[in-house]
Amino acid sequence: MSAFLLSVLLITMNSTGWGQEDDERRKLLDQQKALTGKIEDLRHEQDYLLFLKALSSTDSKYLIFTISSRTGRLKYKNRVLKDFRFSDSLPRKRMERGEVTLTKKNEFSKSRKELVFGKSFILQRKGFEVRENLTVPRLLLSKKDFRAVFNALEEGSRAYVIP
Amino acid sequence: MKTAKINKNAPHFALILILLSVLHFNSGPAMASDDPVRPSIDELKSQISLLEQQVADLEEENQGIINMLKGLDDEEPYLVVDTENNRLSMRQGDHILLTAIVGTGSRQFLKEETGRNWMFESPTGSLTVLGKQRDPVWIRPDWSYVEENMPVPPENDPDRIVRGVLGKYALILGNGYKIHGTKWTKLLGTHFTHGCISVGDEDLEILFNSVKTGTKVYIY
Repeated sequence: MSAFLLSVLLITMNSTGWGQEDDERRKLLDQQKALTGKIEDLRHEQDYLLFLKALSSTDSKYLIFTISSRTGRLKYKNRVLKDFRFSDSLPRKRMERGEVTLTKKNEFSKSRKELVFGKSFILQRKGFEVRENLTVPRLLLSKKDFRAVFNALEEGSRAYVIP
Repeated sequence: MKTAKINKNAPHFALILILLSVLHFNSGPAMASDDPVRPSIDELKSQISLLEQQVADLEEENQGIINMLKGLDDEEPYLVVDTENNRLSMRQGDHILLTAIVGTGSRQFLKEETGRNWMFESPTGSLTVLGKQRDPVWIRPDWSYVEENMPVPPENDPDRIVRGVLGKYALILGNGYKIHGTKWTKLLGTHFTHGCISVGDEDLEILFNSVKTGTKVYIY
């Protein structure tokens, strides 16, 4: 009798898809999560593309920083003026992606200069770092690259950070 | 006796109860859930459908912007002059076709007794090659006389025409500025000119043969 009831129980569980429904739900939730992530990525991509679009018609030079490859690019409209590499120094804070603005060009001496992009990061010449405001990440460029970029930009110039 | 009989049937009753519970809680898995936190399968499918549509819309929008930006690109070479480091590069898209060591404006200031003054800086911004010249001739400007403490001759004085000092070629940028050759090749890489961009002979020949009227020149 018990065996019979147990068998009926098992058949019932199987026919109502008790286990199958959980599987399906899990798959759908995974799919939902993946799509939500993809939407976020596409929105970030669109933000960057709209930045490029806006700068393609202005009379301003701007910078693009790619964190993963530690490379930067000085551009004017859709033209590349200069490529450069950078390293970072302490503090190794994660840089946020998105648009930033050059808020201050500081010239402490002939060799000690910096470009301050708000609270996001500071560009300095390698070996001549200004050691103030140490909570903000620093990106260090070679002498030639830093001189070129410093000369090219002015306060208010825009930049974009991509991961 | 009676108690023993009840105990013997207990497992059967338990199984019946379990069976009834399963039947109750698993009826109509596709029906709307009463639990607001746990959406039903159908609700999840509906949400996913909306998300897929959002993805498609965003991909289409982004592709539109990408196509617009690609439309701005052309394969024409252009020149970039870095006046800080005295470097000129000829670029085409992502490629660098040539890098040359050049001379740019000295950033010196010259003042004449009459009050006229000149700042010898290279122009910055977006310029265009307005013309190309072979064996360019230098028409001495007033400052070149002032600089040497010489009297300034009239404008159309033949003395102002000097040949052979601007190299074999010149690219005209307008407002008196040119990219041209120089006999002061040892000074290339420094700020020594009166505003023009001085280039070595070999690089200048490549530039002259590569660019055309209308080529963009970006100087910063």
